[in-house]
Amino acid sequence: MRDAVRPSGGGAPPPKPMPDRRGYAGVYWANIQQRRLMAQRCLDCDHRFLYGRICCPACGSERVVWFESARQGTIYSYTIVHQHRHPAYQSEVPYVIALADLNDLSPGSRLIARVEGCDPRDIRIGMRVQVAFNVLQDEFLVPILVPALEAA
Amino acid sequence: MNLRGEVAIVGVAESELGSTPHLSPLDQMAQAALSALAEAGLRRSDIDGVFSTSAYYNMATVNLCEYLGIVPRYSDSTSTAGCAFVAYLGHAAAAICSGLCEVALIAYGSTQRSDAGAFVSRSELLSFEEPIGLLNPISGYALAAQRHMYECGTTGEQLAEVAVAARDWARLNPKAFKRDPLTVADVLMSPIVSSPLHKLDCCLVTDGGGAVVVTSAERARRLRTRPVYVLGFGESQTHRGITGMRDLTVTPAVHSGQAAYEMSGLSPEDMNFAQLYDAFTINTILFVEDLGFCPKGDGGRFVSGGGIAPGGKLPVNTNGGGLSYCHPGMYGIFTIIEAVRQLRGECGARQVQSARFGIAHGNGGMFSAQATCVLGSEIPGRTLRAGSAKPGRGPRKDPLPS
Repeated sequence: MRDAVRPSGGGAPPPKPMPDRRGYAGVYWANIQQRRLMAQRCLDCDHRFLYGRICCPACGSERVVWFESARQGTIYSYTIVHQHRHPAYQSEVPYVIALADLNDLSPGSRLIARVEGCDPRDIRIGMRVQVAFNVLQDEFLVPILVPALEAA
Repeated sequence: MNLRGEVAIVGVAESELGSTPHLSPLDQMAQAALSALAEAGLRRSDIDGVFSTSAYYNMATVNLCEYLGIVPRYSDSTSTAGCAFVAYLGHAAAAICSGLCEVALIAYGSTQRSDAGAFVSRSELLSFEEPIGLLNPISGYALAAQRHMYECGTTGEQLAEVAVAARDWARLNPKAFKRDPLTVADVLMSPIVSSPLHKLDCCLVTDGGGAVVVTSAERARRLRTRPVYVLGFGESQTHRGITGMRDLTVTPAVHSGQAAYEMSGLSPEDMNFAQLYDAFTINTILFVEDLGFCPKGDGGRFVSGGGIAPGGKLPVNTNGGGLSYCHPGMYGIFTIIEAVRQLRGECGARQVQSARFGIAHGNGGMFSAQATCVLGSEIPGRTLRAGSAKPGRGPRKDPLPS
């Protein structure tokens, strides 16, 4: 059973939980530390998806290969988090979490990430974004979403 | 092989609800189980199938059976969170019809409220979602609500109407936790937790437990309570975290509902009420769509103007739901308890007139897993009745004769 998280009376808040970096998901995370967003593509059905798996979730084929995403996409949905039960996040609210469709992933395969670099009130579904990277804690990088740079 | 009408619910009970710091979750499960058994006129020794899952106990059924002194031949701890208990009705039906057990006990308990300040869960970390600060599970539902507003024009007021309707039903239920008046403005003025969901768009945090006893229809007819028949059931799961949900406006309830209706031979129009797991206001809106009570995208309009409140076109969550009656972590079992009481005619001021058929629907995770059950006070086609099957309208003033 996960330990109950109790509000701290003083001193440093408990650390944020870290992603599980075992196995194929670990390959994804290791590449994130190199500022690369790596996705997988199925050689049999061309399904393109995130997060590191042994097989294609669309057709089950084990002939899947990694490729680097161009990191461009649009916001599919978002929420502004105002409250959190974990002390490490309480100091950060309000912040925005969004689901993004990426141009080079299959429909329905999304990235979830914080949106930074713009006023939360300006965020719109359909807004063009690109993936950048930021520190979660202890120098560990996670992908984030920022407004896409407009073409010149 | 169609299991329609093969099993029936013969006992339902809640434990003490609300704030129960003097009870452990096991105490609650046992309390509810003993009450449900007593109602049915059965004993612990009659139970040979046990169904339970828990945020507190890895081996929920094993703990419960040791506590109660039961030695079952069949057990099931399917772990799909809040929908598990509705799924257990179908699992119990299959086990009973296969001869693997005769009398099934479904039980649940949680002291989530009394553990305030501590989020108790056996859930694994949602590795891509929680480290970045997604508030589990509220933010997942918030993302779904935001998308539904974008695609279907659903408004914050319509979400709030769901909470108001639940409160209107709760005001007719002496056991409901929250019974003071509630308006749309009250909901919209409550603090935003994870946009677009306000605090009053979110279910309660209470202690509580429940139990349901199921047996063959044949045996049920020899017992003292009026049998409530399991006419159809279905379950579906499509994703774990919200990131894996392909379309945030369509839940697996489409599949679970379809399977349940098909088995029962009934359709949404035949339902006199729906008890839908309302962890958040968006749930009710999505489920009335996905369970066929209105077209996809019309859920906001359907619940507007008191559509699901007392006197509305479809009574929903007639006990006050997770939003106003109780919500001890996993709510699913309470959808069954209320559905059964409505079909027996025991609901007093909140009784749905002439209730013959109704839905109990459970939800788990972030819309991840769904289970639907069609229940009835009769088996369609097997009783001759004058008059057509018109859905009930609003609460009865007097209880139905037994």
